[in-house]
Amino acid sequence: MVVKIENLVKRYGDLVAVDHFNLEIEEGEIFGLLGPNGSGKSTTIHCLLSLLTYDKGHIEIFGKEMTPTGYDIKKDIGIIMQNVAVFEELTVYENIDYFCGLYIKNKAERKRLVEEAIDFVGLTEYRKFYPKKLSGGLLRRLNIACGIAHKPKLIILDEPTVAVDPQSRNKILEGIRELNRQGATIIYTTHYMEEVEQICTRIAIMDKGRNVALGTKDELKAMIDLGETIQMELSDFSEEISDAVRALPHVINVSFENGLLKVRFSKGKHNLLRLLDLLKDKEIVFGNVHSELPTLNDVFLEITGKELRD
Amino acid sequence: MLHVRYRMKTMLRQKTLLFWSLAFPIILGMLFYFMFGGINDLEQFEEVPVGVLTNSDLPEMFVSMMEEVQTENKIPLFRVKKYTDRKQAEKALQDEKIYGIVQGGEELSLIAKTSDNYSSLIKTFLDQYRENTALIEDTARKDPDKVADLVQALAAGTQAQIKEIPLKGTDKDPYAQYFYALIAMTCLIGTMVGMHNGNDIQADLTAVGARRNVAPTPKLRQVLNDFIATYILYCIIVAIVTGVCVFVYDQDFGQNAGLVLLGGWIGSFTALAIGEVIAVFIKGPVQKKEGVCVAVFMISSFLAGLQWGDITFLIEEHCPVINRINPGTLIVNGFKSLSVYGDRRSYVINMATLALTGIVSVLISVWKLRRVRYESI
Repeated sequence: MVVKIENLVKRYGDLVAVDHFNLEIEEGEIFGLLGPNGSGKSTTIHCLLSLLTYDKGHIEIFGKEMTPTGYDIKKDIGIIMQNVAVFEELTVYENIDYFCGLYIKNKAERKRLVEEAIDFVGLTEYRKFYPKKLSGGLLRRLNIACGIAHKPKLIILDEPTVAVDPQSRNKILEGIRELNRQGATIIYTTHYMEEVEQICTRIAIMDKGRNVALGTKDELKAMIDLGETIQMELSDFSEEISDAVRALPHVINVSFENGLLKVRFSKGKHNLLRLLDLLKDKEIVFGNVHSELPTLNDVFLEITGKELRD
Repeated sequence: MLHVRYRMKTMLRQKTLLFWSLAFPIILGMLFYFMFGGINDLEQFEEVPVGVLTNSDLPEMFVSMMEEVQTENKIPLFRVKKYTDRKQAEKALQDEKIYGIVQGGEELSLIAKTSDNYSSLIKTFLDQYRENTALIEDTARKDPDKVADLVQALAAGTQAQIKEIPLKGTDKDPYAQYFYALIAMTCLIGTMVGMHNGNDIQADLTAVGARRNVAPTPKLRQVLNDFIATYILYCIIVAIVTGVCVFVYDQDFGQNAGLVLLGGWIGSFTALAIGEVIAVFIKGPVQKKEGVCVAVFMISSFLAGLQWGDITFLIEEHCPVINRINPGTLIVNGFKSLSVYGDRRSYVINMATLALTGIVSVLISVWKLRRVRYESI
């Protein structure tokens, strides 16, 4: 077990930021902590790292209790904060060297690791640049390099792709997968469900400080009734057709807006075929058809009654 | 060494900080130089004119001692003017023809118009005389046989002490204290640097602080590394500013130059430590803490006489405790005690108080910083 959180409670006055939160993360996982802003993800991470006091609970990393002086634990952790944590007055190379130096004392080894980190995040051309000269995406890559240069066994990334262009985002996500392939266990917090779906092996969904769902993305999707959503362009739509569609098996909800029919099905097979047959029988002309499997947003919506980005 | 080196680089690349720490004191010193340089040329050293009321039961021996006492350059220390009419003496004092009136009576006393270096010098002489006569009287009562030896010893001692008063030209320069205050201010600007040190290690203040908090290098070591790095740099800055005062602005610290530099280094240590305390204990954003630092070094420098030299004497009369605790005044008084009064004991006391303040501040901030978990980030 790499991380074990038991019954964690963190209050800010009357506000309960983390509410009896439990979590276990195994070695080699890319674990996603998904939730909207203010759901308690960062607070949980800060408690995990012993940066924050907490009211109740027990936290273990690598099988040992985590404390502010747990230096033997800290040496194997890499942290990439939500806010870019670098010195404005130091160059790319110097920043990575400085932070790596907090972990690695051997000069030759540190030099090698810093070079590897620069190469890993693709900042070789920018090694002499000061942070203020870097674009948002490059700055995020520097932030990551500072957190991973010492080759940690556990890497915690707290919303590392906020305000990052798609190209840099993809590079960051690919980098995370590569770090995992190299043996690191990853904890990845975000409110972007697409990222979690793309890279995480297991996911915890947080809301109001609680762990509302936990599992692989398939396990999470299996928790809800929604099977698929089919959308198609229709030239004509009447009350009669609406009733006929509703009468089909597994239909949960039917809506028609701006020439677009949207039908949500619970689990079940051949939903699309049945719908197409019905429209053919009724001689209804249709255009583009689009079928969508449930997303984590649907999971969140069904469990909490609100959208992830609310 | 890695962290000390990078911390130095961090500070050296902060242009604003360098401006305030190095360029600003040098520019201000240049203004002082041009403002007071001409005045100094006109004000060559002369004996300190002092009035004595001869009809006020003033001991003859005291008057003759005043007339005889000399600096090491054989220049009479006082130009004694004898008055029999008190009103005449007071008028001379009012017209600034004399800097003080000494009168007899049950106890010798000094009347001065203002508290300045000259009147302080007269008072120091008066106090020394009082102490010696009290000692002689006490010995006469308890052990009359030893009085003669004591008088001889005291006379020799008095000569020795008077000779130690280094009243050379620039030492009596009333504007030298502005340069002392300037060096004190340079030291005190170190509070800003200390504050940045404190901020950069606190997880609830800066992202860098959060990253450093989760590293396996103990916080105490990181705090000390930062402190050592910035202190070394600050010592260099103070040395440069002091050097510019001596070699460019013609401030002659004489044989005390080394002690002035040492005083500046002790002052820098304390200022860095106070800055660290501000970072740790003042709640709120960095801008607020910067405001507090600016207020601290400006007020401290003002109270030390940067803008108005006589303020320290005024404070000494009405609220002396401020002069005992204000870091700026401790630095300036330390320097003045060397150059004006030749009093190394007073210098040591001022510097020891300053160093103690610094040590206590460092201990408080380290105690507050180490092993801390934050309430919120």
